[in-house]
Amino acid sequence: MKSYLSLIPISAKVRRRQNRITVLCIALAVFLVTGIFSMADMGVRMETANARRQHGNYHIALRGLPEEAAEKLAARRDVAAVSVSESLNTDISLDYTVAGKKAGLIGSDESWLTDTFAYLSEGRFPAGSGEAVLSENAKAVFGAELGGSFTLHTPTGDFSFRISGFEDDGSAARYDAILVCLDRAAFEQVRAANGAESAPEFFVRFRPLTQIRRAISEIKSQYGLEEGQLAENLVLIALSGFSENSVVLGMYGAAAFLFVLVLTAGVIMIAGSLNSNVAQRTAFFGMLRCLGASKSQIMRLVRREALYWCRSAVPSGAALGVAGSWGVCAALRYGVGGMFSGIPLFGVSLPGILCGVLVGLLTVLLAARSPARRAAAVSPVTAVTGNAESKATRPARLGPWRVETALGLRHAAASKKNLLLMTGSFALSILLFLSFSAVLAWIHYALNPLRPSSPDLSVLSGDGSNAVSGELAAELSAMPGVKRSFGRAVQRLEAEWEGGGGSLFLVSLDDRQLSWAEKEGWTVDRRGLERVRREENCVMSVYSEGSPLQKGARLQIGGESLEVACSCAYAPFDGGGTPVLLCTEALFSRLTGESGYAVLDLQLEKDATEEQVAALRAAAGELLLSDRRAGNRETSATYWAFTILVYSFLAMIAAITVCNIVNSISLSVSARMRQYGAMRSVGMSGRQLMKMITAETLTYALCGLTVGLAAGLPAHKMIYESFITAYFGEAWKVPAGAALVIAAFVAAASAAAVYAPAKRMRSMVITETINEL
Amino acid sequence: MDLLEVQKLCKTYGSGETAVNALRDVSFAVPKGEYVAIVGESGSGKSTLLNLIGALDTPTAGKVLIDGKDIFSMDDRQLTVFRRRNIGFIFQAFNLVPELTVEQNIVFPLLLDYQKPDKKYLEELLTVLNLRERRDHLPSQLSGGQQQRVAIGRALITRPALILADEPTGNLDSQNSSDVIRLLKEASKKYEQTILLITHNRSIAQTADRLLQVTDGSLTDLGRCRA
Ligand SMILES: Nc1ncnc2c1ncn2[C@@H]1O[C@H](COP(=O)(O)OP(=O)(O)O)[C@@H](O)[C@H]1O
Ligand SMILES: [Mg+2]
Repeated sequence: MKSYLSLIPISAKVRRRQNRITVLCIALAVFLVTGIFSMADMGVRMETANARRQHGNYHIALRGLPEEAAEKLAARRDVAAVSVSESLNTDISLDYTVAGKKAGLIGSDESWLTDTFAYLSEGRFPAGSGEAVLSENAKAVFGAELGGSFTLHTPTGDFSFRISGFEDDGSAARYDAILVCLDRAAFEQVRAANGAESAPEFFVRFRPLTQIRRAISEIKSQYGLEEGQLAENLVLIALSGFSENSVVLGMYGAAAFLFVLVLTAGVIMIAGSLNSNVAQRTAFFGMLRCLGASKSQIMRLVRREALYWCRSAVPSGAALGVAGSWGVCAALRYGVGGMFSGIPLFGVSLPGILCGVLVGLLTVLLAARSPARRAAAVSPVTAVTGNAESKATRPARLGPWRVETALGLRHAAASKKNLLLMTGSFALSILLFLSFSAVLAWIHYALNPLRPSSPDLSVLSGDGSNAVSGELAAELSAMPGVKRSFGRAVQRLEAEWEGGGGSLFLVSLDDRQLSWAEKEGWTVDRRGLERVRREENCVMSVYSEGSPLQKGARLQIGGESLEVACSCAYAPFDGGGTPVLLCTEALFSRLTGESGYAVLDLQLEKDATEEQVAALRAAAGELLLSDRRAGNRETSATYWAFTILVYSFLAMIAAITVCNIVNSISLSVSARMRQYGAMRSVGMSGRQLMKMITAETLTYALCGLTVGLAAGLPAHKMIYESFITAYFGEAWKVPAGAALVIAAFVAAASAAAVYAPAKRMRSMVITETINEL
Repeated sequence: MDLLEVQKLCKTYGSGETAVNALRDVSFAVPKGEYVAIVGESGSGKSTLLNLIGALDTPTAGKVLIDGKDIFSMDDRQLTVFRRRNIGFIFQAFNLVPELTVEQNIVFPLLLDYQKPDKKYLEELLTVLNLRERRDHLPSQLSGGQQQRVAIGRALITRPALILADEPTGNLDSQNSSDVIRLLKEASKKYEQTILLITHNRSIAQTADRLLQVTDGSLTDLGRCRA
């Protein structure tokens, strides 16, 4: 032994079992923080890559500057790149066409198409005025290929180009238009011929570590820029860490919140372990003091002892965290796809690991503060008198309980601080659980792309008229690759109702869509929905706050009297403030005489090919064909990301709670081991001992459950009402399912907490516990 | 008939090189109502012997019969009930329940057996043990001697046939020690209880009906001592 501190590894070896759960707690805390921060880091990396692709790799865009400004900007020390582009008819309002499709025009320098926006997917940037890059969908529309040529029809004449490449920004397919990218000279010709105004935009990217805020205000004052002339690419600025308001800041905020949550839980747990550790060894500390150890030496001993646990806990927790983040990344990348297909697979996040290590050390040091002081305060006398552990100050009241139950209750209530901590940790978990379950309900309402009614393709009239004929609908639905089709007709009508009147949208739904209304949770009013489907004059209104057309209202349309039999939270049509009524196709044609659709939704077979989609496009002819598959994938990815996030939060909370209660009960049992031995020797049976521990555990669990539900249900109600009732009109109900899950979880946690000590008790050797000092 | 019969009792702790033969082939019998003192050097195996007789531990070989019943043939539950009703323990480190009052500590074995304590007997014990004024105090508010008297009360409340005491006076001064021993002896006379008592104190040993000596795990009967 070199110094008194050499005691630490020796005593750690002896007390391995007592310390095992504590070490587990530290490892868990490190694991959670490393894992979550690594995920956040990967998320930011992925978002940065995605944002560069989606929003462009630039920080600010300037318009209304003279051409020379580009060079001046590029000469600044803090600017990495400047690119220029102009656009024409990108809102497809004018009569520019390519092969019969509306066309939008872009004129830019090369770096804009390849660097600022990495849209070029094939071929190269136009070399000279005779060449152009087309959007990918041109291949399907008219069989465009590299080296081929096409004609651009403009209001004042035609221009021919050779195809030098393709670009894929994703917007062209959605709007069913073709995007033509030219170099600046060619664009200038088309622009000048059509007499459009020149409005080049300059895209500036700053060098890394630039103080972007300061650079922006400098540029603003240098060029005398007005509001609206300078647009910030907020997403990228935020990802560079210089934004004040953004999603990413929210992500960092959530991470920080988690850090504090895990730290608090960790400190509570480990402080508990250390406290009881110290309490059990008062005599030992007293003896050390007798032998001449100073107070500060004892404090150092306790603190070092706690840090000693970190030796194995921190590295293993960090390693597990990194491995866990790899697992989640792989699940996101291959299981969810969409925007996650770019997430790095085996990324190692240094900040994640550092935060994990930090949380481990911080937890232990914070947790060791008060026990260390307590250990140092132990008087040397305790070594001599012994009996330091029995510090009961009030007798136990037996009341109506049997003695073992009464003692269990007494043990739970013995330390007010402990009872408070246990109740608090249970209650906190329940509160968080209920809050998150309300958020989960919101995600389900707001983000769910997995509705059975989500279309892959939509055929639209484009102008809101019911121009998709019934014959076309029948033809399309019979084509190969189509699984189902369903249409909606829309008509704006004048109506009168009690106390007023006005225009509203009447939307027809076929029977299949009406049957989804209940399945997808548009409404919970089954009977009302049934009436809408079966009765002749019943309609369904889409809920909006303060609308007079609530359930039960009556109204007149063109001499017919209708009743609102049901109201729903969601509808596949947005009236934009005008009331919306849904009805059957039969009622719709009776009221309007129309038989076509405004929208025909198509769902494709899983193995539908692009050729089949192209055939559908051809069959749709003049009508717009909106391809929603990519968008659906994105929404689906977002939905899964949120769901996974919330569930991992919940899992974390659950893990911390279980760990906490298992640890506390185990500590309480360890501290009373000798007492239990004595009780066994005067005739307490193993079963009675179990009952005693169970009573103690149940006291914590029931207190926590009561307080947790008392605080959690109002929180759930508040979140539910402000996020769901306000937007979807669904009234709050007691979340019986969630409450049941919580009760089951609390029961399971308690059972787990009792199980391990019970096993230990059964194998307890009485003689070993009664006479040791 | 003998109340306690110990047959060829052996106990070995550990195995191989570090094995300790704490008891070797110990046999003896004690008739009902006898007050037996066990002496021997520290580490000779006295506590081991007593713990085996009380079935707190299991022997390597041999039998213990109490009232003719082989205690090691019982399962854990039977043994617990048997111990609760027939054996009273008194330890050197009193081992009271810190949350219970003096009175509750004394009736604790009865409470575990879901029985109502006999009020008259309890009062009598409290009087004999001189704990009447202390009945509602907690163990932490008592002196060592008082705590040991509570432990004696706890061992006597079930009127067990056999009382096992492992150095009950080890933590007490001589005045307290003789009080405790006197109490034990009176009780055993009054209720015809058998007492096995380990002690280092020569003068206490001298008051016993019979003296047993343990030396390095082996037992020698020093016979009846009528001093
Ligand atoms: N649990 C144990 N494991 C190993 N050896 C033990 C154990 N308990 C007692 N011993 C050994 O058995 C011998 C007898 O111990 P014990 O009966 O406690 O002696 P004493 O006569 O002082 O009461 C001693 O040598 C002791 O070291
Ligand atoms: Mg001993």
